[in-house]
Order: sequence, then structure tokens, then C-alpha cells
Amino acid sequence: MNGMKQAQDTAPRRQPGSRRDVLHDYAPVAGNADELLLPDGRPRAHWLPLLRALEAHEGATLRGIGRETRRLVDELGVTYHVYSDPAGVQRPWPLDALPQLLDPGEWASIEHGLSQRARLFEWILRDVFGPGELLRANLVPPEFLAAHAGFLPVLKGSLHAGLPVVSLYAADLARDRDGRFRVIGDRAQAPSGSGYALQNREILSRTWPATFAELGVRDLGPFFDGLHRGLRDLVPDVAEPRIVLLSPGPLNEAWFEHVLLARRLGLVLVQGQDLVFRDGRIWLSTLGQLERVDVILRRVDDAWCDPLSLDPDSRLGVAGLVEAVRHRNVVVTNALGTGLLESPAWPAFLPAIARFALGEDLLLPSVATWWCGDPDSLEHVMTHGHDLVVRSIDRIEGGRPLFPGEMPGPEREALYRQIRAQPTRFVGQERAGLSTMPCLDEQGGVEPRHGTVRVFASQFAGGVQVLPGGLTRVARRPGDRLVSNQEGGVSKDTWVLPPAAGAVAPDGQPGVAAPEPGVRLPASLPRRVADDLLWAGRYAERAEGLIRWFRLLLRRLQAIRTEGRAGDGVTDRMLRALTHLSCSYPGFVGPDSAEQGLLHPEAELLRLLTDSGAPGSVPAALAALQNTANALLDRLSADSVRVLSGLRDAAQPLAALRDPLAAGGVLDDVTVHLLALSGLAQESMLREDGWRFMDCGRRLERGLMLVNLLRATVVVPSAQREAALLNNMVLAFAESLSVYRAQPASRRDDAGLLDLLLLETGNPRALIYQLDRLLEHLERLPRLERQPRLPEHARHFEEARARLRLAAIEDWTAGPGTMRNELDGLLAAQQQALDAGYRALFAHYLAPAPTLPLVGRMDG
Amino acid sequence: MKYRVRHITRYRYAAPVHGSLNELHLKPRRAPLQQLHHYRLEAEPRPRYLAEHVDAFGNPACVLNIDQVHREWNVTTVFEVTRHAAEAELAFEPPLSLEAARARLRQDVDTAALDARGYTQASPLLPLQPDLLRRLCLPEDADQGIEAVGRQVSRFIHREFAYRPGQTEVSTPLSRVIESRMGVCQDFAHLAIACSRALGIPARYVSGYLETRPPEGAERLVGADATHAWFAVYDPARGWLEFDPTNDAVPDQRYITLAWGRDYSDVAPVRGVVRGGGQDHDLQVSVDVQPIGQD
Repeated sequence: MNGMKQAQDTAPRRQPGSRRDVLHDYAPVAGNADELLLPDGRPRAHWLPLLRALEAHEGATLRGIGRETRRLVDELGVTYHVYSDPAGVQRPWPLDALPQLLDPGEWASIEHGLSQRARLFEWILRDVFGPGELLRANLVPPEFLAAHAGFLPVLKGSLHAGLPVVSLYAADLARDRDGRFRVIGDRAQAPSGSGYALQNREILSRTWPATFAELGVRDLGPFFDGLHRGLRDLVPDVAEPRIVLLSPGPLNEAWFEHVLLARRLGLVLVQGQDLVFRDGRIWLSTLGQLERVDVILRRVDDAWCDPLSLDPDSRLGVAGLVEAVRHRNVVVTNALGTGLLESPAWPAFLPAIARFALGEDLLLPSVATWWCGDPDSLEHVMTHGHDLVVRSIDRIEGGRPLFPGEMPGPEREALYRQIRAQPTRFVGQERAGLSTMPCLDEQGGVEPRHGTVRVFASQFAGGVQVLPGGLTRVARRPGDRLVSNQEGGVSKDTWVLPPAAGAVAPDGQPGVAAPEPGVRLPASLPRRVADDLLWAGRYAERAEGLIRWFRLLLRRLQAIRTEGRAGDGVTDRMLRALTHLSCSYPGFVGPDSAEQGLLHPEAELLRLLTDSGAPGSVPAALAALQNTANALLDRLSADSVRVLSGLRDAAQPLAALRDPLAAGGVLDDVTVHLLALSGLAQESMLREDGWRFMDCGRRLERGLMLVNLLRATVVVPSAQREAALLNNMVLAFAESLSVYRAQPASRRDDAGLLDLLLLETGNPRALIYQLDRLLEHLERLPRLERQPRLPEHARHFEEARARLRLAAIEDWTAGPGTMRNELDGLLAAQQQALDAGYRALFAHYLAPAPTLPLVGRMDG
Repeated sequence: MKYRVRHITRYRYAAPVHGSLNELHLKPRRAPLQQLHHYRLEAEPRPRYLAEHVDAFGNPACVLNIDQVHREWNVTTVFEVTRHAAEAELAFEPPLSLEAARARLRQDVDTAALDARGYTQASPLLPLQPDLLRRLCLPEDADQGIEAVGRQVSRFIHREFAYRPGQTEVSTPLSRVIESRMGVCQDFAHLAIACSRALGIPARYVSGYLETRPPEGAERLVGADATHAWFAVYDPARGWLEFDPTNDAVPDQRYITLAWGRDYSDVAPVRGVVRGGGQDHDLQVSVDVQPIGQD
């Protein structure tokens, strides 16, 4: 391998663009396999077409391909979540512009081996929870099962004949030093990555259109069609089954993939709180009713699936799920209990189990593994620990691999003592070689990085199907051997090449798609989704309103900066109003620091503009909007995703702001994106329940902000000139200034302003307009009870509207110098009505009461 | 001896509960020397859903769902059961030494032994603590048999630990029980199991009832009795052997078995989730074990 580099160093430089040039610095690690180059430095045959394509480009163009790949990731909004990130942001999915290539011969053996392992693990779990032949044949020690935290006796009796146990299986493959692939990890309960593989393919097939077509890369689509059919056929006697994908929610690292798979497979994306147990079955809780669920494709780990029968602290599952599965009233797949199959101890038993269970030799070897519960294996690990990886048998506690060879002496001794004390809890494993593969570096060059390939199989009554592709992941930089998204790893599309040029692709006949059997979508909106939509509306409006007032305020501060600051009542009033509007107390209304703050407002303003952790700040409102939108990702249009992504970018400069007065440009920019968002909501959303909830949120927030602002400005009397100026600001905030100015002079007073902002039914910024819309929406939402009486939430809004219409506004604003208590009272009552109306709406439609575990006790 | 048992569990909540889902282990299991005659379960409010199953340990269990708003619910079981006295073991062989028993256990693949071998490992409430006996200053004598270990552990706990209801909870870890040297039957059974497993002996948790004899001449108090718990160890030559560390006794015909498992978490009489109910709830349990005849 080093020969390659030396040869290059002595060889004369070729023209830029030649392969030599592209691979000039490509030097794989000696003694380690490489995906692109043979040990003698020649490229492997199946890479040649891609190398030719690389030759056709210069370094700069390769860099361009890298940029294009990143752009597509951004455009499609592909993200993942890093748990350690306190800000909880979704990061762009890291994708390398070069694919990993697998030649057809090698793929065939992977395919057979993977398919065999899927069958084998299916057999194993059925036996462990059923006849127990493996125990009697001494092939699996009962101590191993009992020591595994994922072995859950409560699930005994929950596997049923005719229903697959491992319907989705994945294995992580690493090419060892001898050039053979070995399995370094089995994923059998809810393997993730197939959705990202699909997304990677969509991007790379656009990055390399010509090469992709020339190579005839095998299609991923049929696998997902098969998965869809398999899920659907789990309940053959239900004409249109309701199938849901159960996700832990938007904070999960793979949330984006859950969204993507739900879309690709035509499933309803749900979280635990969307489902309820009733009469032995599982139901989707929607606005209208409970809708029966037939199949649950789960992405929640075993222990978290049911707080009744499994971990009582889980908030991700459904209480009663195990009971429903036990009585075969719902199908959960992969079956509950499959977490046991992911133990790194299985490889120690697998070869013998394969011969016993299937009468076959294990086709795809694992890394050599010693289970320390066996006395001889324990001694092996104790004496060869230096060269091994030590893992606990379950991934539940401290699943990270340990490397005794790299530990300081005392630490290693402590580990060995721990292993001797609880030998059944540990395995030692050979350290597999990880091949390197070509990756694009920052400069547009190509560098070797260590990586692994995750491959996927589905298994239903009709047999096993293998995804002709996979998710390849490489380390963050050359030399690193840690391959993990959480640690900054990078993914690659995985191209499986067809058997021979011109051969018919084995993926079925393209173009002759069989009509897909139907899957039923919910008749009504899931309650959680309705709640998220309402809050999306509220946050969007909040951000918009807050920024609008900020822009007026900044313009004002700019204008007076030259004139001098002292004694300017309008600015002080506007600053105080900002505190009220954003509820960021004490701010400019606190008893002590208020005066000081009013004179030097910069620090507080900067805080509200830059600190996403400060309640009431602009970035906090924007972050809340983004998080809520992220939870609704499966319901957003591509345009909305793009606008939100643009909004995120537009708001980015806020964090680095030093001078609040310089924020104007950024705020203008952010406003444009917010307006685009509300425009999409108005013009591109179907007028159904979801839209109504979102618009309710907008109306509520707009009403509340307006009332808040009026109470902080117009209600408080001030000198005439100041009052006029302040009124103009309020009118500008409510986008009603020009209308106001167009009125006759006699109407241009406080009463005229209040008419326009409170009572004018044709003004979309007026309070009464918000109440009208709210009541209109509530009228059309599904009624949960057949009663002629108004539901409570509607009563609050109805009452507020009546009080507003009957208000004698002119009387209250007539005499200057009074506190206008009546007006303030009216506004306060409006505020309360809006709050109470929301709470009642929430209780009526949205809230399931939280659940608490119940405990008993032995007293004797 | 034949008994009639009435077991009432009553929950009261600080705030209304909008629904609850419970899993019960309140029906006596099939056990050697024990026969169940009549069994009845009543719950108030009436459950909307109730279904029985047999759990992985062979215990009858049931799941029930109440869907109406309530602030209190109670569940009552009433049954009659006959508990026979064990016959004396006649064929007497010298007991296996601990080492011999452990070695044999590793080889045994008959159904009982395969089942028992799982009980040597950690369980949800009881992590393995290989140094536990040393920490307790309990001498470890490799020559004694498993029965002697069970008896010794039982006697040790009875001597060193004080029975104090209300001092510990379900969630109290064993380390706190050891530190404070006090607890209730559940804690003592757990401690005994942990000691046995530390020696590599399979040990399981048994829940049930105990007929407590009134003092001489006094009337038997109704409702004073409680649910009880003890433990069993597995001897490859003799099967499961039971011991009651709370009373330093070997369970006899005064003991009625309800369920067994790896620890309390497998056989909790009542567990569940409720919607609403506020931060707190009050639990009252009353058990009445009444002898009704010799057989």
C-alpha cells in the first residue's frame, strides 16, 4: 500500500485531472484493507468507472461536487440530532460526496449471509421465549439470558405464530485486515439508518447522474415497497389496516428518518402520547374519536414501550401495549423483546446455533467473541485483554466499548476485577480491522478514512428481502477509528453494482408497479398534532409581533440618538411596552433598575436580541417556532421546510450581534421569512382542522399581544404630543397607521384608535377580528359531545366578544389625566378570556392527563 | 390446614383519576402442597376491562382497566386454600458441598435446573454483589450445603435486622436496608436472595400470606395480618427450599404461596399507571387469613 505513494513521489507529475492527480495524496494505512485500492496499490476493478469520472474532473470540480452535495442536504432539510448539544438543534446530516461501492460477487455473499442471520435471530427469540431447545442442547447458557437486562420475562407469551419477530434486521459490517467482511454488531429491535440510506441515494444520484446511470446502481425502491407490503399483510383480515410508526419524538437523533420512513411507507407518524389502551386494543387518539391501530412499526426500545409492564418511568410508550400484544390485539414489529438479540455475546454462540437450528454453517462471520460467563473464555479474556475490546452483554448500561490495552494499569485492573466479579455480564471481542475508503476532504482532495457499512434485511411471511445498498459511515478524520454520528462521523451512499453489464436487474421489472394495497390514514387529526399546530401558529405570531415592535423601537432609538436622550417619554414608554409585550420581566418595568435601564437600555435590548436562553427574547421565540415546526416535520410542505431553513439562516447573525441598534437589517430579513410562512399558511394550506388549530394559535397570540401593548401604552395617559407619537407607534405595530390617517381629523384621537384596533371587524389586526375568527373556527371543529350548549372554550370567546361590542369606549377616553380604569379593566378581562379560552380548548381537545406510576408494598 | 383469605387493597388519590390501568398478582399460584378452591376478585369502581394470563414464572396475573373518573378504588380477593404439611424426607443423603452443588448446577440441563440457573443472576431490584457476605461479616463456609446456607442467612438476618414497618419503601435500595439494619419482610427476603446469589446459589422471591397465631388466650385479630414475603434457594439434589428470614422459620402449613419471581418487581400484588390523581396517593392493605378446618 505504501508502494503506491512512493511510486507517485518518484513519478513525473501528470496533467491536472488525471487519476494520479486526484489520488495523489491517497495513502491507505499499511496493513489495513482499503475499499478502493488492492494491497498492491492498483484500484479494484469495480471502482474504475467512478475513477474515470473523477479523472474527468479537476480538484476544483470535486470541491464543487462536495458543495453541491451539502447544498442538497440543506435543501431537503436532512437533519439529525446530537444528544450532547444543549441547544438541542437539528444538525445538517453529514454526507460524503463519494459513494461506497460494493461489487456484485461480494454483495451476493453478503446478501446470503444477512438473510441467514435474519432467519437465525428470528428462530433464536422464538426458542428463548418458547420451547427452550437451545438451553436444553447447552448451546445458550441460562445465566447469559438472565444476566442480560434486555431479557424481559414479562414478554413471555407475547410472540405469536405467523407474526414475524425480526421483521427488520441490520448488521454493521467491517472489512477486516484479511479483506473479508465481518459482522461487528447486530441490530434487531428497531434498526435505524435505512431511511437515511434512501435519502443519501436521492442526493448522490443527483450529484453523479451520469456515473450513476452508467454503473446501473441497484435500486433501493423495491425494498421499501416490499416492506410496505409486508407490514400491510401482517393483518390480512383487515381490509385497510391502520399502521403507525411509533417514534420517541422530535428529540430523538433519528427523528428526520422517522418522518422520512413514515412518508415513504405511507404510515401515520405517532408518539406514545398519541396512543391509548382501551378494551384490550390500542387506539390513535384524534380530535374526533379513537381510531383503532392494527400494526405498530416501532422505533422505541423495548424497555420504553409500556410503563405498565416494562419501565414505569417511560414517557415514550403506551401503557397497556404489552397486554394488547399478549392477546394479539395489535401487532408490534419488531416484536417486543428483540433487544436481547443485539447483545455482543451472541457471536460466541451463533456458529453452533446455526448448525443446530438451521442445519447450516454460519455464512457471515462475526468478530471472534468470548463470553466471560464461560470459565475458559474468562481466562482467555483475562490473559489476552490487551488485544481485545471489552463490552457489557447488553447495550443498556454503559454500552461503550472498552479497550484494556489502552487503559492505564490501575484502571485496567479495576475493570478486570469487575469482570471477575460479574463474569456473566461481559464479553471480550477481537478488535476488527476497519477498512478505509476514499472520502472527499475540505480541499477537494481524496483521503482514506476508516468506516463500516450497515446493511438491512426485512423478513415477513414471504421470506427475507435484503436492501441492495446500505448506510456507510466513516470516521470524522483520517486515522480515527470511531465511527458514530454522535461523534461527528460522516455518512456515505452505498452503491451495489449489478451482476454484469447489461444483465437484467434483479429488482423486478421497472415500470410495472403492482397496485399497492391501501393503508388507512387517520380520519381525524391526532390530538398532539393539533396542539403542535396551534403552538406553531402562536410562536410564529409571537416572533412576528415581537420583531415588529423591536423594529419600531430601534428606529426610534436611532432617531433620538442624535437629538439626545433626556426626558423622552415616548421612548421610555416603548421600552416598557417591550417588556410587557415579551413578558421579560423585570426588564424596563422593574422597581429598582428601571430608571437606570431606561437611560442605558442597550444591555437589556441586546439580551432580548441575542440570548436564546432568555425567556421572551427574539431568538427564544424563533427557536420555539423551529422546534415546534420540527415536531410537525411530517406535515410540512417542501416549501415550508425551505422557508423555515431560510428563517434559521436569516436569524443566525443575531447571536453575534454587539450593538442592538445594528439589528435592524437582520430583523427586516427575519420578518420577510416570517411573512412568507404566514403567507404559505394562508394560501397553501387546506382549510381543515389542522389549519384551523394553527390559525387559532395565531389569533390567540395576536389578540393577546395587542391587548398587552394597549395596556402598556394607550391606557396610560401622557402629554398630548407624546400621546400622538406613541399612538402612531401602536398603529404602526398593528399595521393600521395609514387607515387611521385617512380618517377625518375628528376621528384621529384615542377613541378613533381604539375603534380601529378593537372594534373594526374589517381590520385583520383588530381584536374583534381575532375573536370572530376564533369563534368561526371553533364552530367548525368536530364536536366531541352532542349538546346544544356551547362548549366552555367557545363561551369564553363569545363572552369576550359581547363585552367588547358593548363597551362605551368614548366615555373612558374622554377626560385626559385619569388612569382610564374602565378601559384597562376591559382589556384585562379580554386578556383573561383569551387565556381561559385557550385553557378550556386545551382541556377539551388536546390534553391527555399525565400518567403516574402506582406502587404497592409487601408489609409482612 | 384449610384457610379462607380476604385481601383488600384500597387506593385514595389527592385529585380525581381519569382512568387507570393495573396489573395484579393476587391469585394464588399452583404450588407444591397447596390447593386453591374458590377464588373471587371484585374491584370498585367496576373495571371496563379485565383479562387474566399466566406470567413467565407460572403465576396467574391479571390486567384491569378502569375508565371512569374516581378518587378511590379498591380491589378485594377472597379465596379458600388448603395447605398441606411437608412430609419428612426419609431417604437421607449427605448434602452436596457448596462447590459440588455449583459444579453440578453448571452441568444440569433438566427443566428444573435450567429454570433455576437463571436465578443466580442480577434481577431488576437486586444487582449482583459478590462481596456482600464479606461486607456483612457473614462467614462463608464452603463445606456446608445449600440448605445450611439458607438457614444460616435466614437466622443471621433475623438476629441482626430489626422489623420496622414504615421505615423503608419499595424503592429503598438494599444498601440502605443494610446500613440501617431495619426493614420489613420484603427487604429481608431481598437481602437473603442477594446473599445467596453472591454465593452462586439460585434464589427466588416468594410472596404470600402467613397465618399469624394470636397470643395465648387472645382473640384472633381480623385484618391484622398482612401480605408476607420470604425466599427459596435451589439445591440441585433436592429442589427449591424455602426460608423465612423475618421469622427465622422454615415455611410450613401456616404459609400460603401467592406468587414467585426474581424479586418483588416480578410479583408486585398491584402495579399500575393512573391518569391524573395528583402528586400523592394513600394505600391501605388489609389481609385476613382465617383457618376454617384441618383439610
